[in-house]
Amino acid sequence: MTPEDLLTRTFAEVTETTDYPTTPMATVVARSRTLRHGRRRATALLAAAAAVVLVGGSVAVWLNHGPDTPPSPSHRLDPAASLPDVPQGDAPRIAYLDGDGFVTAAGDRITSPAFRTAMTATPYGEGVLVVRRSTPARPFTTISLVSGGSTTPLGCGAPTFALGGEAPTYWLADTCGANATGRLVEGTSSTTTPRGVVYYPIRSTSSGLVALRSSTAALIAADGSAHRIPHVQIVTAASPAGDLVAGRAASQPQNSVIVDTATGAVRWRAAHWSLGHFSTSGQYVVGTQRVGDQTVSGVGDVVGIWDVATGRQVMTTVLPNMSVVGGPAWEGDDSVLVVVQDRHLQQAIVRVGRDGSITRATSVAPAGTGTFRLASTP
Amino acid sequence: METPMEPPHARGVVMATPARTSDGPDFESWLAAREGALQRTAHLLTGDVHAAQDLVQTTLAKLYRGWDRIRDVGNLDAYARQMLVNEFRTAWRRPVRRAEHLVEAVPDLPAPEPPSYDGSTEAVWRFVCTLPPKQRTVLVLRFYEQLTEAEIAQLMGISVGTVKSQSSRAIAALRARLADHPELSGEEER
Repeated sequence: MTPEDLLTRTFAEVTETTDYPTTPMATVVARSRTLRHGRRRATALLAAAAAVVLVGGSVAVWLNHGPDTPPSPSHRLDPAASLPDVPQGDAPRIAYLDGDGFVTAAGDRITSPAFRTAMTATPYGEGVLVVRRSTPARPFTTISLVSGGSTTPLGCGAPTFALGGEAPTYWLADTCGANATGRLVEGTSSTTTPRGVVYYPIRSTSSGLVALRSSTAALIAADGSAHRIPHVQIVTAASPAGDLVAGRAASQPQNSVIVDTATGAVRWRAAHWSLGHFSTSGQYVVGTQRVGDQTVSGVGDVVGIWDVATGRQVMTTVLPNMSVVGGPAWEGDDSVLVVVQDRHLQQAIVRVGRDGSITRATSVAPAGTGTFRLASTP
Repeated sequence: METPMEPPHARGVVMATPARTSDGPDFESWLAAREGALQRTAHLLTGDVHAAQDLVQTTLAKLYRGWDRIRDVGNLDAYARQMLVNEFRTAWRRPVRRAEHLVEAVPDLPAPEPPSYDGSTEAVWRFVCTLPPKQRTVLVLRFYEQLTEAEIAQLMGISVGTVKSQSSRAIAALRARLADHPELSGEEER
């Protein structure tokens, strides 16, 4: 058999023995729209770059009202706004941390010194599970249970909780050091994990646990076996049904993708956005564009909301003069919360509605004193 | 001959498709009939089913966007194939794209031994996957799509001479491996 014949035979056998998924028409339409938006956005960015030279940084606000964005909400903030100018709205409808306090969704405040160094927390049983950040004396994140006025250290672990199951799932290392074996813990059950592999649990779903496994997005079955979720490098969220995940694209980390966990197909992409959590029903997903410290008047980080099924952006709004320093996290399907800091280093938790409205959910913490952190959400 | 894998109405259509061209098929019918062929070619080009699906979806999205403008409906399949190949070559020019290495399992286990050549279909396939994208594209178009050298040159926007040189280099490399397995090339029968 000649090399040419071998090649012909090989190509035929490879394709005949592989099952190929079909592409739903909705996926084609969604990706088509994403491509169109990406091109328009590139054009808008070029135009904005030229305009910046002429009229200064204020044009950056216009950039987020370009032709690729949905109609603007009618009640946007004045570009010169700072946090005290943002209208005060209802208190957060999800739990959050403030100083040494954990404020529940019902508004009850639990205090503990452990909360002061918490990165995030979540209610569990009669207490609160908390991830505490590393310190010079303790160079690892640790997980503790605060209950009944006492704090019980559980061990070194990863700084995420996966919700959605009967109890929060978290990863504990067997020893506080590199190359340790560990365990995935959910309630009273645990699964041993291989040496040197760190798990960052994202969400418990009916299909299994979605997690970032070292640097790989994975779906972990009940028996501990892991299956890679392709196309996504850093997974940030999973839908309530577990059929979709959001995260940074493996091929282009500046972009985000929504990936079907069953087929491994990319549903749609969001160029230059960082997609975060799915709404409670799974109908929407939130994303942010962060431009860093705000040094130009009117410029600010951007929050966007997409319809998951179609990949269509349903809302985008600029937070003028503000940087997102925490979140976002959904309150149901209608609004998201973000922790923001303005140009004067004042902080507050801000609510962004699906209609583009912006209100404060907390009072404004004076410069340098803000310690707001959102609790873990599914 | 392609046959539709499933009826168009089973594909979860949620929006109107582009209008039917004057005397050609509507996009959805064409998709149902031809997606399989695109998937297979994309698989051979990329060497990975998931990457192939991504490539096909991008190609389909671009086709869908320009469906109304495609006048030469008689060459729709060739047009789609050319878009697929162009998209593959464009993607492989991006350095970040090459950094992505898709595997079926999470790579926290010891790396497998380098594949040894045993002459099987799997080994030939592994060999093809090690070829540079340009050589691989030429081989796929020549020995799977059965295009002529002139057609490949036109499709890839390169000269016929380049097609020949790329093809002969790849085949020479394969032949060198076959030297260790004369039973495959029929040498032992002479």
